[in-house]
Amino acid sequence: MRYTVQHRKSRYISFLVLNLSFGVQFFLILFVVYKYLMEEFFPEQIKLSILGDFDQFLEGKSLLQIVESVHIEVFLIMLTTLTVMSIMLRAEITEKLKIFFIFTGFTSGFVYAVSPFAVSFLGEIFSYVQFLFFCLFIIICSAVNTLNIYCFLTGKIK
Amino acid sequence: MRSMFLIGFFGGVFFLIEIFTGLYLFYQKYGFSIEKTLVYTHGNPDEMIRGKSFLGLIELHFPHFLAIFLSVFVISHLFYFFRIKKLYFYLAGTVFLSGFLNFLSPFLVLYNKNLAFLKVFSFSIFFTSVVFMAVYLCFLTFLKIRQKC
Repeated sequence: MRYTVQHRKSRYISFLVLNLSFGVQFFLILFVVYKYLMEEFFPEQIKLSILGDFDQFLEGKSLLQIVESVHIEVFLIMLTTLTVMSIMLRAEITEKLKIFFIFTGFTSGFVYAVSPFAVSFLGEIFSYVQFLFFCLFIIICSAVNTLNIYCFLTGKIK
Repeated sequence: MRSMFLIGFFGGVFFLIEIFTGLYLFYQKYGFSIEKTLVYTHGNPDEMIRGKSFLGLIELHFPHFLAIFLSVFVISHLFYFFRIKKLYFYLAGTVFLSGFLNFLSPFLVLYNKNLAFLKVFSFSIFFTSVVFMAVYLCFLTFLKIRQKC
C-alpha cells in the first residue's frame, strides 16, 4: 500500500514537471519570436533600437528605457533559468555536466541581460555580443529543458 | 550538491541586478523624496505632469505583486539548504511586509497625501533587507562551494 501511494506521488510530480517543461519550451520559442518581431534580434536591429539612427529619424533608447527593459528581462531570465536548472538537478546525468549547464546558462543570461548598457555606453560592437549570448542562452535552456522532458518521460531521475 | 549551491549563487546575483535596476527606476520616479512622490502620484499642473489614476496604478503594480513575492519566495527558500537560524524568519518577514507596504502605499497616497512618507520609508526598508538577503545568500553559497571544492 505504502509503495503504491509513493509510486503514485512520484508519477503525479513527474506529470506536473512535464507540463511545466512543455510550457517553458513554448515560452523559450516565443521569446525568440518576440525578439524577432520587435526587431531586436539581429545585431543590426539591436544597434538601431538602442542607439537609433539620425538619418532614418529613429530615436535611440534613453537610460531609463534601457533600465526598464533590463529590469523586466532579468526577472524573466532569472525565473526561467532557476526553474529549468532546478528541475535538472533531479535528472540522472553527471555532476560535471550539471555544473557546465548551470554555469553556461546563467552566465549567458547575465551577459545578454546587461549588454544593452555595453551597447549604449561602450560601443555598437557589443550588439554582436548581445546576439551571440542571447542565442547561447536560448540554446542552453532549450537543451536542458529537453533533457528534463526526456529524463522525466523515461524515468531517468533520482 | 555543488551544482545546487551554484544555482543559489547565480540566483542571488540575478536578484541583485533586479533589485538595483528597481532602485534606479524608483529613484527616477519617486526620487526618495515626499514631494516627488506626491508629484508622481497626483501630478503637477504647473509642470504639465499628469497624475496617476487608480487604473494607472493597478496597471503598474499588479504584475509587481506576483513578481516580487514569487522572486522573494524563490530566493528566501534557498536558505532552507543551510542551518536554519532565527535571522531568516526575521529577514523574510521584513522583506514580505515592507514589500507589501511598498506596493500598497501608492494607492494609499492617492487618497491621502499625508501617507507619502510611507512609500519612501517602506521602499528603503525593503531595499535594505532584500540586498542584505541576496548578499548573505551569495556569501553562504560561496562558502559552501569553496568547502565542496
